[in-house]
This record gives sequence, structure tokens and C-alpha cells, in this order.
Amino acid sequence: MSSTTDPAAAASGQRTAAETQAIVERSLRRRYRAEKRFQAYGIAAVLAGVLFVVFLFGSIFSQGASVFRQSYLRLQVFYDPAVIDPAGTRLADDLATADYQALVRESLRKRFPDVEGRAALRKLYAVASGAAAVELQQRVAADPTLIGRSERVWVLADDAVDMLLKGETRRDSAEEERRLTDEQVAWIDALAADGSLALRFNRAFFGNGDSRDPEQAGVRGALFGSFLTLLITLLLSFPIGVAAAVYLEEFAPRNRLTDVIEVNINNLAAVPSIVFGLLGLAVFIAYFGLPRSAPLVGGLVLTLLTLPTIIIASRAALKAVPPSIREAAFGMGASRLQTVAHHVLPLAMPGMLTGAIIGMARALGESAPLLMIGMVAFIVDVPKGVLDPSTALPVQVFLWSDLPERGFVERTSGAIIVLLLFLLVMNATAVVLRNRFEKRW
Amino acid sequence: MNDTPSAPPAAGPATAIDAKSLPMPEGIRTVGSVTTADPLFSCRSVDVFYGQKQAIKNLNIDIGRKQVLAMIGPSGCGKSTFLRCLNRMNDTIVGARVEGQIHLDGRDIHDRKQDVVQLRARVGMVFQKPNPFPKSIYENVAYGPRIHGLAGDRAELDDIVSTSLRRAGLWDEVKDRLQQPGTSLSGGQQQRLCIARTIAVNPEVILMDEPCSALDPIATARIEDLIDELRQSYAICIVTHSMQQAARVSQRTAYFHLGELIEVGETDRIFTNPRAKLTEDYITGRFG
Amino acid sequence: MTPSLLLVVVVAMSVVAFWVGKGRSIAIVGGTRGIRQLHSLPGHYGLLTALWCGLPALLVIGLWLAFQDGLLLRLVSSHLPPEIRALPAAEFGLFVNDVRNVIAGNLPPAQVSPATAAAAAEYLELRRVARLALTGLVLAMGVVAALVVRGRIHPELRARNSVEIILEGLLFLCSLIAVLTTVGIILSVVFEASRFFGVVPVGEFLFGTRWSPQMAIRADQVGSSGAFGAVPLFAGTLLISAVAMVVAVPVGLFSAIYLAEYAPQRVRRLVKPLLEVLAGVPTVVYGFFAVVTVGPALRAWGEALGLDVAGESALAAGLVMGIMIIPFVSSLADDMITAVPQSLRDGAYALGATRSETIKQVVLRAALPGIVGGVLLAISRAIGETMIVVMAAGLAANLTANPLEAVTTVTVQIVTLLVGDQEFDSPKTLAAFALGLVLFVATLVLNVVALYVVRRYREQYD
Repeated sequence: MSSTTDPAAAASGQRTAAETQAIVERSLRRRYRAEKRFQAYGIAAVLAGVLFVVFLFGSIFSQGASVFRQSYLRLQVFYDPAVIDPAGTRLADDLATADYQALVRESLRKRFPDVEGRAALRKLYAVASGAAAVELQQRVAADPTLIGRSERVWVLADDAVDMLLKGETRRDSAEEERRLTDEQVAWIDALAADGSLALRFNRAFFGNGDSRDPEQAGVRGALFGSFLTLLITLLLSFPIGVAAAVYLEEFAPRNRLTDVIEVNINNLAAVPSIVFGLLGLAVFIAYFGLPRSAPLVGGLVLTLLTLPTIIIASRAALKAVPPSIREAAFGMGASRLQTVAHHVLPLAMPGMLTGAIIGMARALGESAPLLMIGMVAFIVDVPKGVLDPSTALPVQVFLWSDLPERGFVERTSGAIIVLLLFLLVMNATAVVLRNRFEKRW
Repeated sequence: MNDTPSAPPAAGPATAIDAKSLPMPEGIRTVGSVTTADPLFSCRSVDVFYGQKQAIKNLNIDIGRKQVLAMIGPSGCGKSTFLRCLNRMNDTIVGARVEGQIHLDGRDIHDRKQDVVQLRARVGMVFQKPNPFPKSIYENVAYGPRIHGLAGDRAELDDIVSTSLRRAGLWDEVKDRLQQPGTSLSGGQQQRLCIARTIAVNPEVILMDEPCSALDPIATARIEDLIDELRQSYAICIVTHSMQQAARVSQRTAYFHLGELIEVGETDRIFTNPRAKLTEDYITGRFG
Repeated sequence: MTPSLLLVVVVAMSVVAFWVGKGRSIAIVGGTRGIRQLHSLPGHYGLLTALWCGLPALLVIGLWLAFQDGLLLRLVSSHLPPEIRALPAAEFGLFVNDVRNVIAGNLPPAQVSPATAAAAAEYLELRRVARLALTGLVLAMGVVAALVVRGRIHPELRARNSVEIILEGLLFLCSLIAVLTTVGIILSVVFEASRFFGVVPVGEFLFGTRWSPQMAIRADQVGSSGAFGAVPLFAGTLLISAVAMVVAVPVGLFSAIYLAEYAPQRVRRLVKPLLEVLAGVPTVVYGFFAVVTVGPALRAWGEALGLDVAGESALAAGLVMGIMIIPFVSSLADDMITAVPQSLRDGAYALGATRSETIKQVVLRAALPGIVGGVLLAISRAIGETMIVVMAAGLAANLTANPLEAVTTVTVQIVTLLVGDQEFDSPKTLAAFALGLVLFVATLVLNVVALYVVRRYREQYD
């Protein structure tokens, strides 16, 4: 059809080139419109994705950023010997059981001498957190010579005060809609005016375990729980994962058994994490009698969970080592094991470590299997060993997200920020490791 | 191969069959002097399969001591495959199967008692592409002696390393930078490093699989000189695509075609007076 | 010795054995200058000695740790007074729990019944004796093995070969752990589920439409007989997964297409990692996002439109789950699209096809099996996702197709049934394992099909 006067073409009813061109030209506008539309869908999808990211992080950070500062109350405290140690024994036991709340109350009364009546006073006392007395007790325990003296101490304010100071509780809302009365708001304003009530770095959030009071609740216990759990996970899953990958990649004969292992690993990587939790509950706790809520069990379950990830990543790293290195070693008379240990493993190690870090990051964010094995209890103490009951950071997020107090929303977001920071550091390490050591052969 | 003489195998002139040379099977079609006196390797009826595919068919050859055997032939003719039989590198290839007898100094290398690691210590190998370990020059050469326990202490190891590098003609170029990575050397230097690495184990045979194909002419010339020197102490089997190279470095030449050993004999004789038609066609450049 | 101390001792013994074996091999050939005469390196002789010294001992300790508790408990309970052994299973379980608590030191013996205290004391005494025996056995095994190996060291001993066989065996065992995990999952879930099906018929579980797992505590209570028809859970799971897919598939697929085929390099390099960030965010964060931000927002919008949106609507959970799955779909689709050879595209361009026509008619058609596989994997992810639905979906088992209402899912029910203290034998607890079995089988089938499709697809273009 190169010629417009091709009689054969005309005779057989085919179109001439000019006709064809005309048809194409007519269709072009429609086709280009379709093209534009298609591209617009793509851009819309990308924008939607980016928007979700921005929205997710924006929402978390806007709610959680304020957790790093907390309302503290400056009190002029007189360590009254008559209250702390009426018998004058200075025994540690006596000092620990004294009524430090009374000191806080006394201090607040002195600050606002006009307040009278039980109900009013109780409202006044509610400005300070229950943790204030604990703080005073710890100071006395550390330095008993304080008794009989007076000092200025920063103690935690109540979470309702904190919410007011951070603007979470609106002043113009009706009195019955907020937890503070107008009277209390007036006291708070007075305290804030002379600098006795201020937002300071939130020591409690990083120094405390869980608590029922938002202002006292902290992530330390959860952080330690996560740390111990991940430690067990890393110690088990990395060596086992690398060994399994080495076997499958460097030693295994191609037979039914190794095929089964291979398919099995790929499938295991896609099994829902909660099923691993069921396994942990049925095997480690019910069958082997390990304690519930223990980081040891959490670590075991997460080991099984991350193992496929680590094996797959390690195998990829081994595959990336060029065969010429193996040939060189074999040609020198190195045995298979020597070849792997001396040459292949060192070259594959950065890739394997990257895989391990990514696996650990996944394990750190995992909570469903930990719920199954009971790492979801309310635990105030910081765990000291792998058999102590504990929770983990993501589980702490889950626990706090369920609590109604406004202060806990902030805590939850704060714990999420801490969690995300850890994940960020881990993933960044993995990326740096990959970029620095990745060799192109 | 219809023009290959079907006469009984023409054993080389005046070759008394040594006790170590295995008996020759019937009906082989290889032309020329297959056997040698006092052979180091003696191969009989060797077949190699990669899965279903037969890469080498009924190969018979003896390999002598302290001489260079060049293997030539068109691509895919099985010469590299045969080379890899001699130190059992084919073991590392999934699906590869070697049949027949290959005796090294009168012992079957496929014997169950034969440790493949010891075999490879006796039969060193240099590969087509220089493949130094991504470690220092020193560690590259020291690796073999270390894994085979050839040095009792550090001084002895140092000694082995420097001797090997000297013999490979690399010492003067690298003596001041032994701790630098082996991969930092030029291609020709890397290949000489690989040779130094091989001779550090003090093998009896060195197998070379097209050792110069990745090198420029100057580096190639140096390697060829080196091969000539090494011949004083080792048997060398070299696979090459270059007939000139075969003519320059070898004393014996074997011509492979489609998995069969067509002709083998003194290098001078093969290049001046080939007896098989296929050999003649190849060396006169009619195909290849 | 406690087992953990024993472990340390065994490791230390192996280290000593290593040096003994190594030293012996050097001595036998007259010093380091003679090591050429050895078949293997001195280190191999050391390693062989150490492995023989340590491995059997470790094996014994491992077996002991795995079975001691069950064994001792059985021994103790066989000595219990008959009236306690005759107790019904549930009460006997409580008794055993008390004994355990005394053993662990959580309960002072003075606070429990004399029988409990006696049982605990017997357990402790048995354990003390057993530990003593274990210590003796392990130490003797280690020393004897090391000495035997040391005696057999001579230059021809193929120590390297033996060491490598042992180590290769250990590597093989490590790779078997993955298989053991699967077997463990299947066994534990199937075992507990079969006990559940002993109480509740399979048919009722799979096809019943009423789910209220509250069992009567006493037989005479009314209206709390418990119903275990799981259809509302399956429906809820599917509803939420469907919402998630409606969000994730178009957004993930189109962004993958745009990034792979249209976007300038700069945009691609910036946006791809940004989307992948979504994959690294823990699911509990998504759950919180759903509860605190998305749920209330949907409710408010619904009110504005005059719709009644439940606080824990399937829409909110599904929407957020969809966001979570976007990077999963987009990175898989990206892999599949970039695997389509350029020659196919060139063929279409050469015929005068526009870009979108090439993509729609050639690239996507060629990549379709891979993309379908990816979507199946995504569905399996959605079905198995737990935290988002636990936090954002409801507990009430409604059988509805309306995404504005609250529904519950399989994973939510597993969590609710198992979190908190409960005895291991009630149908309520066992129901969780039956649900787990369904979940495992469903995701397994999806994964097997998806992985098969994806692998076939990859092989096609490799």
C-alpha cells in the first residue's frame, strides 16, 4: 500500500494510504485525549499516595510532638520532720512510708492561703500529680539531710493541667465540659503567671514505665521490653537465618527435600503474623511451659517470624557474590566450607546485615503475635531480664490508644514517634550499609 | 569425520607404554601420539555429560611431566570441559557427570578415597578471567599455603609468598604494596598474581583456561614467557583460542572437535603436518 | 548447676577441648614446622575435638530443657493423694497452677494447701536430683568424648572432612527450622481446632450465622450458651478486605504505572521511597490513625451528608488498611511492569501506538499474570492483618454488606478470645485456634497460587 494508485489494492477492496491516513488523523484527537486521561489517573494515584503519607505523618506528629514537654509545678517544699520522721529514727523504712502527700498539700496551701473549705482544697491539691509525693520521697531517700530544710522542687502537674497549658482543653468551653473548674483555671493562671507552672522537658515520659495516670506514664518499660525481645530475636534469627541460607545456596543438592524447604520458606514469609502468635501460645507457653508475657517467648516468636525474611535476603546476598570467586577458591583446593567461610560469607555479609536490620525493623513494629503470648498486660516495672513480664513499644501504643483520657492520645502519638524514630534509624543504617558495601561485579 | 583414517590407533613413534599409562581401549579414533612415556595424567574413555548433553566423548590421552600441552579447537569443542575434569572442578557444576578413568600418578582421581581438596592442591588452576580474591596481594598468595598448612610460621609464609611472586615475575612490581587489594592491579598483573597464588601451593600440574584471552598483547607476552619458565618445574595444560600461542608455548598440542579429541602430537608436527583432515582445516583457518 | 550455668560450662569445656586437640595434633608431628605432614590443619583437629565434646552435651541439655517440666509434673502428680487426682480437669488445672506458682516463688508455701506445698516441694527435690544427674552426665560425656578424640588424633586422621560433615549437618538443621515452623503451626492449630470441633460441629462453625462466643459459666445460666457460627466473621473480613483493595489496587497500580512509564527520573527517585515509607510503618500506627483521625472524620462527613456512619465502620478500617497495602501493590506491580521486555514496547510504538495504548494493550497485558499474583498476595495480607482491625473495627458480629456499619473480622475475634487470662480448654479459647486454622489455610492457598503465578511469570521473561 505504498502507492495510492495500486490497482491490486484497490481491486481487493483495501484502503489507499491516503484513506488510512485520514482515518488515523480523525482518531488522533480521541486517542490523545485518552492518553491525557490515562496520565492524569497516574498522577492522581501518585498524589493520593503522597497525600496519604503526609496526612498520616502529619496527624501523628501534630498530636504527638507536644509529648516531649510536660507541665511541671514549682513548689516551695518544707521537709517537715514532724511529717516525715516523727520518731526521729531516720530509718530508710520509716522515710519511705511517710506521708509525702501532706508536704505537697501543705506547700500548695501556703501558695494559696485564701483557699478554704474541704472541697475547694481538694480541688487545689488536684493541680499536682500523684507523682509529686513520690518525687519528694525519692529526694529524701537520696539525701536525708533535706529533712527540716526547705527547697524549691519541680514536680509533675496533673494531666488536666497539662492539657490546659498545651491548649488541648479550651478555656472558653463550658465549665462542665472540662475536667477543671473555673476556680482551678484561675489558680493555674496565677501559677503560670509567676513561672511556677511551666512546660519543661518530659523526663517522666522517658524515665517511667506504664501508669494509669497519663502524666506519669512513660515508655521506658516498653522500650526495655522491645530491646530484650529484639535482642533474643537477633541472637537467634541472624545465625540461624544465615546458616540456612548458606546451606540452601551453597551446599544443598537440588532434590525434593530442598524444593520443599524452599517453597516452604517463601510461603512462611507470607503467613499472617498472628498465626505465629498462635504457634507461640500453643507451643512455647502451653507445651513447654515458658512464662507468659516474657520477652524470651516474644523473641522466640519473632525469630520464627523474621527467619524467612532473613533467609531470603541472605540468599540474595549470596547469589550476588560472583561465581568466579568460588571457582578461584575451589581451584586453590579450598573445600566448600572453606570457600564459603573465607570468601563468600565476608563478601555477602553487608547484604545479610542489611536483611537482618530490615527483619529487625519489621520485628520491632510487630504487635499482633505479642498480644497472643500475653505481652499486653499492664506492667509498671521496667523488665530486668528475659523472663520478667513486659510489653513492647508497639503493644504499648495499642494499650494506650484504648484509654479515654486526652493525655493518653498525646502519649500514644509520642510513643509512635519514638517507635518511628527507631525504625528510621534502623532503615537508614540498612540503606547506608547497602550503599557503602554494595559491590557491582 | 568420515575422512579420519580408520586404521588402528597410531601410537606415537617410539613410545613405550609405561606401567603407569593405562591400557588403551579398542576402537579409538584419535590420531597421533596419545600416550607418553611416564605420564603424569593418564585418561581413558572419558565421557562428560551436562545433564542430557554429552560434552566429551570417549577421550583418551596421556599428559607428560614438565611439558606444556596446548588444547585447541573451535568454541564449545570440550577443551575447557576436559581441563576442568583434571582437577574435578566439574564437581561444582550441578548436573555434570564424568565417566571413565582419569589417573594421576597411577591413582584414580575419582576414587572414593581421593580427597578432592588434596587433588586440587596438586593440580592448580588459572582461569580465563583473572579472579584474585578481594583481599590484599599478600593474602591472595598466602591463602593456599594457609589452608593446606604448608607454612609452620609467619616467616615461612612470608618466604613462600615472596618466592611465588618472584617466580610469577610480579615481585618487583608489588613488593612495596603487598597489603593493597589484589583487585587494584592491572589485568595482566592480576593474572600473574593468580599464577603466583597457584604456584604458592607447589602443585604438580597447572591448568590454564585461556589465561590470556582477557589481556592485551604485552601482558600476554609476559604470561607466555612465564609459562615457558614454569615448564621447568611443572606440567602445564593450557586451553587457548590462539594457534600462535599454542605454537609458541607448547611442546604437545591436542585438537578437539565437537567433544572428541581428533588429533594429538608434537606441536611442531601438528602445525606443519597435521594428519587428520579436521585438524588441517582448523589450523589453516578454514573454520573455527 | 542450673541449666544456664551448665551451658556456659559446656561452652568453656569445648574451648578447652579445641586447644587440647590442636595442641595434640601439632605435638604429634613435632611442632609447627611439621604440620605439612598432617592431613588437615591443626585447627581442624581442635575443632573436631571441640565439636565432639560440646555437641552431644548441648543436645542432652536441650532435650532436658524441653521435657523436664512435663516429666517432673507427671511424676509429681502420680504421687498426689487420690482425692486430688480425682478432681475434674479444670480444678486439677488450677491445682497445678498453684503448684507452679509456689515453685516459681510467686506464692509462699505457707499460703497454699498442704497438698500443694508438698507437691511443690517434691517437684523441687526431684528437679534438684535431676539437675545433679544432668550435670554429672553432661560433664562426663564432654570429658570422655574429648579424650577419645584426642587419643585418635594422628596425621592421617581426616579431621577437616569430619568437621565439615558435622558443620554441614548443622547448617542443614538450621534450614529445617523453617519447615519445623510450618509443621509446628499446622500441628498446634489443627490439634486445638480439632478439640474445638469436638464441641462445636464443623458445619455449624463454617456455615452458622450467629457468633457470640460467651459460654455459660454455670450450667443453669440462661441465654449464654454461646454460638460459634463464623459466617459473620468471614463476611466482615471480606468486606474490610474488599474496601482495602478498592483503595490499594487502583492507587498502587496507577502510581506504579506512572512511576515506571511516565515519571521523570527525578520524580521517580523522590516518590518511590516516599511511598515505600508506608510499608515500613508498623500496623499499630495505622490502627491508631484509623481510630483517632479517619474514623471521626468519616463520621463527621457522614453526618454532613446525612448518612449514619458507625464509629468503628468497616469503611474506616478498610480505608486505612488500603493505605497500608498501597506500597505492597505498587512495588510488586512495578517489578512486573519493568520485567516486560523493552522489545514488546518497541513493537507497539513502531505500529504508531500512543504511550497509554502501549501500556494498556501490551505492557499490562503481558504483566497481567504477575499483577494478579501481586493482588492475590495483597488480599492475603489484608485478610491476615490484625492490628488495624483490632483497633478500628468492631467486636459485634454483624452480617452486613454495608461498609458504613461496624463489622468484626477473624483476626479481631482471635485476639479478643485469647487476650487476657483464660484457661486453655474452654471452647472459647479453642475457637480462636479454629479461626486461626481457617485464616492459615485461606492465606496459604492465596499465597501458593500467587507465588506460583508470579514465578511462572518471572520465568517467562528471564
